[in-house]
Amino acid sequence: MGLFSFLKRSTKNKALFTGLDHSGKSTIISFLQEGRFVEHVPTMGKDLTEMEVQGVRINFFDMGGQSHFRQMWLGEMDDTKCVVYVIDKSDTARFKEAKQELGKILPILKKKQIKLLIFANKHDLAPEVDLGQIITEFELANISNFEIVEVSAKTGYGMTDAFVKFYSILTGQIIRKSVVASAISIYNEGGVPLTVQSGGDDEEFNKKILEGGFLSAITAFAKTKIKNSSVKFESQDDGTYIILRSDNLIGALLWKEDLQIPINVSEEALKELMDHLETLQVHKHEEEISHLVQQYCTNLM
Amino acid sequence: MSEEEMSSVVSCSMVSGLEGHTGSNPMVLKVHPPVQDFTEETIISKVLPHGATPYKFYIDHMDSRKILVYTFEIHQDGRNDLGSIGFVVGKDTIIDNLKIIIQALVKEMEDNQLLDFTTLQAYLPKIIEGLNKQSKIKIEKMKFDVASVLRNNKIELQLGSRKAKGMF
Ligand SMILES: Nc1nc2c(ncn2[C@@H]2O[C@H](COP(=O)(O)OP(=O)(O)OP(=O)(O)O)[C@@H](O)[C@H]2O)c(=O)[nH]1
Ligand SMILES: [Mg+2]
Repeated sequence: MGLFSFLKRSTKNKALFTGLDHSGKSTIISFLQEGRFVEHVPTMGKDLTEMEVQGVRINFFDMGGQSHFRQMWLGEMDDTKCVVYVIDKSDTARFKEAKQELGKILPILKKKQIKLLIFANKHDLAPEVDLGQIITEFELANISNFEIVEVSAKTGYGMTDAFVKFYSILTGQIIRKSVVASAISIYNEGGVPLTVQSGGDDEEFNKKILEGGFLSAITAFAKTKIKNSSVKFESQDDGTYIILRSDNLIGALLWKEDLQIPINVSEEALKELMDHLETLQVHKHEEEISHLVQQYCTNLM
Repeated sequence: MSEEEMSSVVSCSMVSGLEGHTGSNPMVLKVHPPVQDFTEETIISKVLPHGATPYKFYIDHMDSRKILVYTFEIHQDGRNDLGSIGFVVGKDTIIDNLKIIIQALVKEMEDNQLLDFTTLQAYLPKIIEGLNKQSKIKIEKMKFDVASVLRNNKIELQLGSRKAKGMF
């Protein structure tokens, strides 16, 4: 690497994350990069990170959202390909302020033909606030050239779909979300089932797999007690069960050949889910597990 | 800056922060002892530089004065705050060694649940005094001994101090 090579570093795919303070910009970016929830301190001015996806480098410009920094958003628009505007869906008291700030950047986006992607974040806290309400309250119907997605950077709800959209707006290329599991089930340390999610919303199916292959595989595995270990059980009828023990939980994922993805991708996905659940310390409040796993599984099925 | 200020380890210190709650903004909370041209406007970008993240050192200048800043997190129920403590360092101060002391002090305050804006502001004069005298900094029930950290790490805070010791 030569001297000043940093100057040549391309910012071809520059994405500018804007939105009020506390809306969740930094949390969204780190979730997209790491696949799990990470807590941040408020962003002091701006924070630059990058990530490579399928050989394409993405430059994230995470802008501070406090009133002191909002002026800086405008100064960063020049070589930006996509502006992400993050709204905290649960903070309806600040919708007016959020709408005002969005209003200030819209003319520049129009002039420079920069695409706008709105993240309606914190869906976990306010599932009742739907996109229709946000479109009305922010008068988005008058804007052309924008897209909106509903996400939670805490539970992971909708993050993969949001990323697929973000990536195509930013790079003009399509990536497809892959289904990595036919079913996923989480157990406590002792092997007691806490929740099961399957690709279909079929309760009968859930019940069947819970009572069937999953449970017998888990019962065998629960006895091993080795943390952060994993094992695969093949079942002739169902497919392959990947089972993984994290610090406080056991997770199982059903992989089938017709998913058309390599089994190690599913294994990696299960590991990420377990890391995510451990970060959120869900074993301490088991009643929330079902909801949290359901939200995260929007990325996997 | 007077001769005395130049020869001290640190001549002035400031506490600043960016709180995690909704609607906060960067602020300089205390400058001790007060310096005329150190206003929030003139030093905010030096004590809380753009892009600053917790547990890092930053160095900037104000005319000929060198400012060393250390950032950290202040634990809160919701999102944590970003805090910073800054020092105007003397001309003979060995900055790398001062960093070791500051980092250790902040860590000890954190471990003793004393790392918050109120305590930092209240004890800023004691911190400056302890650094300059290379003695104990007493913060409530916590005692941080600058001299023993220096000894344990086999380091000095100022250039020429070993030579000086040998001479007398
Ligand atoms: N429940 C919930 N909390 C979230 C979500 N996203 C972010 N948070 C929390 O909201 C707070 C603010 O998140 P940040 O990502 O720091 O917000 P920001 O938009 O980067 O804020 P500034 O840097 O000040 O502009 C943090 O305490 C996060 O944990 C979410 O989807 N659900
Ligand atoms: Mg942020």
